[in-house]
Amino acid sequence: MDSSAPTRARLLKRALEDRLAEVRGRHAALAGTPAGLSGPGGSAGPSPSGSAVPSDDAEETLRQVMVRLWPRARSGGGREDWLALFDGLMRLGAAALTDDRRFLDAWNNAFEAFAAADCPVALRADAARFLEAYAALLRAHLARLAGRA
Amino acid sequence: MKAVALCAHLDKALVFRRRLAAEPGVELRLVVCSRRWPRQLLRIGAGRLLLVLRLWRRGTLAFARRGLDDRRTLRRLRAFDADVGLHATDVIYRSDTLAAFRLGILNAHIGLLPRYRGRSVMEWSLLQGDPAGVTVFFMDEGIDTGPRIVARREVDLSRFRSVEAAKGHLFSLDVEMYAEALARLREPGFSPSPNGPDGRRHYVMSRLFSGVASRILGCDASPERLD
Repeated sequence: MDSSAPTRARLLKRALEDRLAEVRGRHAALAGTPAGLSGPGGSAGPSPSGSAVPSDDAEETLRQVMVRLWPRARSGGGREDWLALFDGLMRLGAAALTDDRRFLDAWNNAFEAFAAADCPVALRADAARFLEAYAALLRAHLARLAGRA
Repeated sequence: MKAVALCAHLDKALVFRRRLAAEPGVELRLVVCSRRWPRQLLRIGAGRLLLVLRLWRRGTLAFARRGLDDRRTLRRLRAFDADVGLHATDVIYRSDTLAAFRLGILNAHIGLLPRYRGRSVMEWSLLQGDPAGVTVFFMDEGIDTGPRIVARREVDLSRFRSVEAAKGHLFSLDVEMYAEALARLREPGFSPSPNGPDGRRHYVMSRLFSGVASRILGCDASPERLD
């Protein structure tokens, strides 16, 4: 580990904590209740698997998500486009738990596009599931970073 | 060695000329590939307009309004009988265009290959704690997958305080790196290094991670800003 690694870990941890708070807020707004996602004392989400190497399938899914599904959804995509994006991201769930942060960043990009868009009513249940899964990923990465920062 | 700089902007073509025209052993031509070249010409200023007209009359500078893969443009490119193309456009080349040059078209990529292919690679290097830099390689039709690396330079970005400034610096090194690559290609016995299979394609970085990369850069420049 190089000397700047603790600094990077600290900056990353801070950013992920802020994002998790934002995701919780979005989820609560979507559900129309303050309950939202579990807080710091809640489920830690999926177990971190930092040393695992994403498969070639995951690499191809990432390409499809970032080259086709995400651009389509963010540029005024309809319900079907968002569902296709959420489906692609769910297939990247395991890869997004690894240290290869490109996979988590596909979720980051999707969330940023989602936050900027008007969520159609018909998409609310799927969007809530997306936010729950994203929050679980963020918690898993935060748990791993807690030992590094 | 005959080289053709393929430029989207006339200004950039003149930067190539300034740096490479006097390079020993290099015969340089400039091609401005843009539908808007007449507008670029109008904006260039009287002093440089004379230079542009002189270069055009000599046949050193040409304008291509159609795409580089257009049949007529390709015919003109092939007529140059050039060894190398130097990429400074914003297009992806088709095989016919790549094949119009004896050795191929060089690309100055602002990431260190083979590891960092694709988009936002400088920011990804910062996030991962890896060195940043520029790699010059012969392009193929894939995304930074061309198998022959000609020049590679790590660049210290610690003096930059923003991602934009750091990225601008890396982009500004392209002509210098092309000069280095052309010098290497003229060395007897030079053999490019392989762009190995270990690399991963990177994609546009999210605002979340871009913010982290930017703060990492800021911390490098001034550690006291950490707390």
